[in-house]
Amino acid sequence: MTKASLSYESKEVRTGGSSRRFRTRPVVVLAICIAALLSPDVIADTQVGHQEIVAQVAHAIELTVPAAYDWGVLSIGENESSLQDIIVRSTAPYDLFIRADRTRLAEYDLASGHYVSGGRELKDSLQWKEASMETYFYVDTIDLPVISGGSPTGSDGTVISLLFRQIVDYGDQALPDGLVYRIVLTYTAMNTV
Amino acid sequence: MKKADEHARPRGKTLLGSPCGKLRLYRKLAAWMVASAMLAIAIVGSFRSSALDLSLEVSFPADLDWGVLDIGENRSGMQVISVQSDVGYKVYARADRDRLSQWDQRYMSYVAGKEMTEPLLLVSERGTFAVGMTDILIADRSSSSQSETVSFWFVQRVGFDDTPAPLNRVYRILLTYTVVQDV
Repeated sequence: MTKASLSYESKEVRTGGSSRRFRTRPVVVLAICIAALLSPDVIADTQVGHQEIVAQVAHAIELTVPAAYDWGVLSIGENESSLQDIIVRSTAPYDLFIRADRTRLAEYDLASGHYVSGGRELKDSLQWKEASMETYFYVDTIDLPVISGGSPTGSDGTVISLLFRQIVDYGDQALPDGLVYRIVLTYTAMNTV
Repeated sequence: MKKADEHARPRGKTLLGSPCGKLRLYRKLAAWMVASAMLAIAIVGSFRSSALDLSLEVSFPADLDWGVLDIGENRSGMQVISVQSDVGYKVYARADRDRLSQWDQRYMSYVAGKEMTEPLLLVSERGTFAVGMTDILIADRSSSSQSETVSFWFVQRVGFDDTPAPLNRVYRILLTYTVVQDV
């Protein structure tokens, strides 16, 4: 009896022959829950918002061309250049073109920085090819395709190696000091959208 | 037999007629008083809440059309969250993904495997964070009694590994900001 009265177990109380149960623990628990729900100090207000961000990536292309090339002294016969590397970095498909300011190497005055008017030219046109290809092509003053529809390159870029060939024969004249044979090549890379 | 009748308790006097019964009654009364007191505190507390006008009003930044991102580092305009709170608060940000990803505007869905190389960076008063799918704390205002703003901006680095999205696609990310009052 003593043990039972110390706990919060349900206790039966008889009054006048009728039987009623008084459950004290559920009442206290219920009150605590209601108090917890209503108490302002434990409720932190929260607000949530959304923001959509949209963007596009620009069509971008970057071209690194070989440095000016001093071919040295050309011999009679076929003269092949060293590999000339062109590096393309592009976010989109691209085309690469090559053109020249003339088709033949022409007499150039180093002192004045100009072609010699009415000066000499090599008999054969300069030729070029992609290193991995078999066939050489003559350079031209209009754009000629080197790469058509190249794939986006990624950050490392794509290296395109070119070789040049110049045929020299006895019809070509050696030049005095201060004069050289010269040609200027222009590379153009553009995204194809 | 007579002795036993002397110890028999009259009906209706079971509780009050013995010390044990009184103890039980007192316990019940105490329990009800505790419950009543808690309810009273809660009700008074709710009224106090109204009287203090504990509130949180927030305006979030609008959707951002960043336009065309160039190679390199792209910085957005300033983004502002305005907060009016009676108590201190914290501002969190998270995204639905770890990178801006291609979003097909016709189907309103992301395109699998087409995402930016670099994560979106959020620059706030607490530092620079890569926005991802977990909440990052971008502002912690321990006490505030008036309208305040939380300012930040985004940085997106673009490289040649990132490709322009084709027609009807853009790069997209969805940010979720959560402002929580301090308890």
